[in-house]
Amino acid sequence: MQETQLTLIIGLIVMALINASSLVWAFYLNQKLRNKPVPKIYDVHVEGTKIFTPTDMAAIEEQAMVQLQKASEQAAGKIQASINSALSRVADHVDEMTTTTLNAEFQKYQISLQALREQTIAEFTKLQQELDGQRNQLMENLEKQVALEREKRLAQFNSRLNDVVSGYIAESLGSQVDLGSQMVAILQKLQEHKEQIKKDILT
Amino acid sequence: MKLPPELYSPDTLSFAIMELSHYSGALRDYAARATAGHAPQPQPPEVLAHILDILDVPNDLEAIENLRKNLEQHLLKAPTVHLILAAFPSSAVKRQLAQWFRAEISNDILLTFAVRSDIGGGIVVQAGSHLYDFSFKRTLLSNKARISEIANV
Repeated sequence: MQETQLTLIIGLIVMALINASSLVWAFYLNQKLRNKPVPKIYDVHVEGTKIFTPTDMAAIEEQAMVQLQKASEQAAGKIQASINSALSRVADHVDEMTTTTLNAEFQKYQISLQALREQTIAEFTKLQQELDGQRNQLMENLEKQVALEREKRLAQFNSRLNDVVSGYIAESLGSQVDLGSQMVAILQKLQEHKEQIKKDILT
Repeated sequence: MKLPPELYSPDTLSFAIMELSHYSGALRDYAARATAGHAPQPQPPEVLAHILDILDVPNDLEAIENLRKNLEQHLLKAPTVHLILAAFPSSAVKRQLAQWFRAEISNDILLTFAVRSDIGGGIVVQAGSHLYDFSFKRTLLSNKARISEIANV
């Protein structure tokens, strides 16, 4: 505890000394600065109206106007020349664009368009041919189906007609069949096919 | 040997063979008993007698036996034709058909008969593997355009 107090006291004394020395140094520098010579500043004011006479002023003004006009004309001439040159270059460039570049582009476009048109025509032609082929095949299949169906229906009709005729005969003739009166016709039919029957029986 | 028209079918031939067998058995019995002198001489049935008369076969055992054997051979070897008619044929019709077939096709041919009323009339002949349809039904179906004309009669 006493060491701490001692340390603090010593530190305070050191700080006080530092502050004092700083103050002394600052005072010294101030004094030095005060003693340094300062340059004097003089304001000079010239009244122009009192240097030249009115006649000289008019002549100077006139000359200035002439020179100004001359300079303006020169500048305008240069600007005009420059504009003319630029305009002619622009016109030339535009001509070149329209005649050469644009024509070339139009030609390329036309070639591309022609190629596209030809390709489209070829594709459509191919598509048309495929469609025609498919249509023909479908028509053939349809005709075959129709023919098959027709044959099937005819066969069914013939089968039913067979039954109808059998039923009609059975119903209309019934038990009124007279074989005796049919024998002449029967024997005639047998005689007409005698050779075929003989061949079938004896072989 | 030419068969009479009465023996027109396998059935009638079989019947005749059976009758001949019975009759030849009766004749054999008679021959065995004749020595004892008891049995009367057998007579063939009317139909058989008619057949024996037509075929000119004497009424003795040996001839009867020979006839029976011939008919049995005939039954085995003779060709057969199947006939279909619209109604059951009478004896006259059967005789007529048998005479025609034996005169025109083969003298030992045998016939069978069947009835189908749906053919209306005419005849259907099955010879071998072929069928000859001469019926009214076939005629109508061959002329379908005229069916309506016939139906309107």
